[in-house]
Order: sequence, then C-alpha cells, then structure tokens
Amino acid sequence: MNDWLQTISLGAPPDRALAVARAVIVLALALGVGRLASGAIRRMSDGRLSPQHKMLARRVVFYTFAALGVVSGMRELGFGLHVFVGAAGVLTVALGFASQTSASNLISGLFLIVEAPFVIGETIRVGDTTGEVVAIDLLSVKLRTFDNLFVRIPNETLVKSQITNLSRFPIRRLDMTIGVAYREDIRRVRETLEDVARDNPLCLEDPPPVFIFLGYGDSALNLQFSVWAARDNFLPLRNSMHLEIKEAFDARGIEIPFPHRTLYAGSDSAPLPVRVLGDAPRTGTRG
Amino acid sequence: MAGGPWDAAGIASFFARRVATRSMASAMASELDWHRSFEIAQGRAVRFVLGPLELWVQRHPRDWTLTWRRGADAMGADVELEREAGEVPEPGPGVEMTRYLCERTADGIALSARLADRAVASRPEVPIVVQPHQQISLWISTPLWIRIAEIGDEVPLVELPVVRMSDSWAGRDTRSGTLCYATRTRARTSDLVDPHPVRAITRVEVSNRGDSPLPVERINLPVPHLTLYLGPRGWLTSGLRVVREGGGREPSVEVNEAQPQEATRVVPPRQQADGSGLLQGLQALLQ
Repeated sequence: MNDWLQTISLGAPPDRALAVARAVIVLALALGVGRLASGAIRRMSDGRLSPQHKMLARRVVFYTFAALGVVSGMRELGFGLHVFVGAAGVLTVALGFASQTSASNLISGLFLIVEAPFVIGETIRVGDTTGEVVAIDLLSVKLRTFDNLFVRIPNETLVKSQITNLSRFPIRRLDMTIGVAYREDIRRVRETLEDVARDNPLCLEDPPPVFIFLGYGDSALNLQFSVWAARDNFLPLRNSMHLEIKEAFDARGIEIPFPHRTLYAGSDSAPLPVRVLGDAPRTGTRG
Repeated sequence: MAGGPWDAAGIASFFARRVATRSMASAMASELDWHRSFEIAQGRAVRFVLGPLELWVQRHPRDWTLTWRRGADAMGADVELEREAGEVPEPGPGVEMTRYLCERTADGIALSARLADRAVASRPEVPIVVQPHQQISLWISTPLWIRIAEIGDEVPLVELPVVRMSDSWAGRDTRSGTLCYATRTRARTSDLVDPHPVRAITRVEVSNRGDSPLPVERINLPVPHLTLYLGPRGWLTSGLRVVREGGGREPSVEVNEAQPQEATRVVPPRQQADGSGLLQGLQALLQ
C-alpha cells in the first residue's frame, strides 16, 4: 500500500494508470450487473415474496456484486486478499459484540422449544401482557392480546421472566372475594353461596367449592368463595357467578356494605347523629 | 308353617304386588312410547313433554323450529306427546330456540333415546360403605338425551339432555382427568324401582374382597361406554362389575355386557372402550 501511495505522489506511470482504469471499469461493471440482477430479482419475486423479503433479497444481491467488484478492483490495484481477510477478522469480532443479544435470543429460543412451557394456541401472561401465542420464532415469541394487539417478546426476556400459562390445565379455579355486612350470619351466607354454585351448571361439583373466612375488615366481613370450571367456561362462569350471587344476596336480604366510617366528636362522646333529608324544602339562612 | 312368607297374608301380598306391577307396567309402556316417529303437517306446531324437558316443534316448508325449556324438577316423569303447541314461548332466560334449515322438510320427526355424552359422577345422597368380604348391587339412574331427527334422516337435528346436569371433574388431581357430569343418587340396593320414562338405570355390582371397609363417596359411571336397552322395567344400560381385592390394589372394573332380561338392545355405546382409556376412566369409578 505504501508503494501505491508513493506512486500516486510521484505521478502514476502508464501501467499503474491502466491498473486504476481497469479497477474502475471492473467496479463499474460489478455495480451495473448488481443493479441489473437486483432489478431481475424484483421482477421475479413480484407476488411471491412480501415487500420486506423482496427488498432484502434485492439488497443482498446488489451488495454481493458490489463486494465482488470492490475485491476485484482492489486486486487490479495490486492489493491481495489477505488485506480483506484481516479486515474480515476485525469485522467478525465487531459483529460478535453487536450480535450477542441476538445470539442470546436464539439460544433462549432453543431452550424454550425444548422445555415447552407453552405451545402455539395457548394463552400466557408475561408481566402485564396477556395473550394467545401465535408464533414461536428463533428470536422472539409473538402474542395476540385479547384486544387484538400484536406483541413481540424476545426469547431472552421469556427465559428470564415468570410465565403464567393460562391454558395448560383443563380446569381452572375462580376466586371471588366477597364482603358482607357485620350483621350477617356467616353460616347463612355460606349456604347461599353454596346454593348458587350448586345451581350453576358450569360450576364443577368436583373439585368442590371452597369457602374461606378471610378476616374482619374495616367495613365488612371478608370472605373468599372459590369455584372450579372447565377452562373454556371460565369467563362465562365468572360473569354468571357474580350476577347470581348478587341476585341471591338481594333475594335473601344479605347486605354487601359500602365502606363505613364512624365519626366521634370527642374521645368519650357519643357518635354524631346523621339524618338524611328526603324532599324537605331548603331554607336559606343569612349571616 | 305359620308366620312364614307363604302363609295366607304373604301369598295375598305376593299376588297384589304382581297385579300392581302389571298395572304399572302397562302405564309405563305407554309413557315409554315416545321413542318413535311423529308426522307433523306443514305449518303445524306441536308440543312434547318428556320428563323435565318441554319441547315445541314447528314445521315450515324449509325449516324446523325447535324451542325447549326445562322444568325445575329433575326427576319429573310426565310424558305428553304431540299435543297442540298453543303459544310457543319466546327465546329468553331458560328458553332456547333454534331453526334447522333444509331444502324441504320431511313429513315429521323421530324421537329416540341416547345416553349421556360424558361420564356421570353420581354421588350418593347418604355416604355408602361396603363392608369387607361383601358383595352388593347398586342401581343408579342417569337422565337420557333425546335425539331429534327428521324421519328417514340419519343425521339428527339436535340431541337434548332432559336434565342439564352440572359439570364436574373426574380425575385424581386437577391436572389430568376428564370432564364429566354430576348427579345425586339414592343408590338403591333393590331393582324394584319404578321405571322412569326418561332415565336409564345402571346396575353396579361392587365386590369388596378386602379386609377393610370400602367407602363409596362417588361413583363415576362411564356412560358413553354403556349400551342402552329398553324393556318392561324401563330403560336399562349395561352393568358394571367392580371387584376390590385386598392388599391395597386398585379395584378392577369391567362392563357387564350381558343383556338384561326381557330387554331389547336399543342403542350401542357412544364410544367403544379401548382397554387403556376405559380402565383409566374406571379407575376413578369409586372415590
């Protein structure tokens, strides 16, 4: 390379000028052929490839011819292939550093395929995202959310995250937290809930419903009532159970209270009385 | 011998029961007569009552309109056939309506009986315990499905259960098992039960050859694998034979395909039992 630079500074002899001309012609030819080949690819792939894949194919073809033209041109100028081998080595190291994330996604994808925590068609939850798995690809998994949004999750993220598979098992439990007024008879409430579950055909008899007393809340007795349903019936059961429990409570006079607060005027005084006025006329006061 | 079963009172009682049985049999024979074809003129609407199921059938030139609802009494045994429909209820809560379209409706419909399309988990109203070295027979009834088809058509319009049984789960845990139906049974130990026009009776022979009592909390009947018969004693199915040997081994289960006396085979099993599937299903027969 030093000889070549020296030659330029001293004025190129005729054979060197010819070499430069040949190099330029070779490069120009390569670029021309590359452009023609790229155009041919575009015409041949009309209707066969997506626009994205078509663009990718055209660029690969063009840059291949361009690279061949550059290599041939440089050889005409006297530069050996070892120059490019050295550059390729440096380029490989750079690519390695740049693609470590992609490599991690690729390897994570292989682990996901082997471990199979989910398959296409199942519904999973990753973080705040819940959706149906529509594709498991080399670098990422694609989900379709219930509001029809497309979500791409890198495989590396999935391997490092907690995945909840909502479709793996054929039955699923619905947990309902219910608050009832303190004046209610808990046994009577339990019987009411169990009657509602028994009368709902979507609610599985086995495993049996679970009744749990959670505790004495600020404004209500907190209860948990859990029922099982077939996975496909989970949403209809959820809606129907809440509706039927409300109806049963209303029919039996069981109160679901609003939050309560008791006001005291002082430490030893009686609670402040509150009287709700209906249609009483308003009387304005002055002063 | 005074006081024995063949004294005057005993003989009188014996003949009285035979007369009552014959009267009951002739009445039941008419109630079982729904299993046949019914010609329905075009533009006409007729009503059927089959136990808890109330069915309206309307024939139009190019469609059949079926409307149905179920009563609250799951053990209802009323049968009314081909009555004038009167006012057909509108679809709504508890009332379903579907139209079945074709190029030209046939002359009428054919009603036939089917067994349930899933296993039925029957829970005794009172827990049962079979003592060691004892063999008992239990008679358990399950509701029928009514198959409605055009006369001469193999493909049915619809199959309707006379009772919408509650869903349940038959499996050793919540990860593996099968969906089934749940029902309650009195688990009679005598075959002197009143025939029911829309329920089929299955005889389950339980033989406890072990040294410890065998509690029976639930009986999972593999109904789709049973054959349906019809006789003077009503609808019957293939029997089941369960043998529990000692030593903690699982009970062995087999379907008793012997045809009940005086009964005619009506419908083959919905599913043919393969060895592993049936055994797996029946391994949960007694829980």
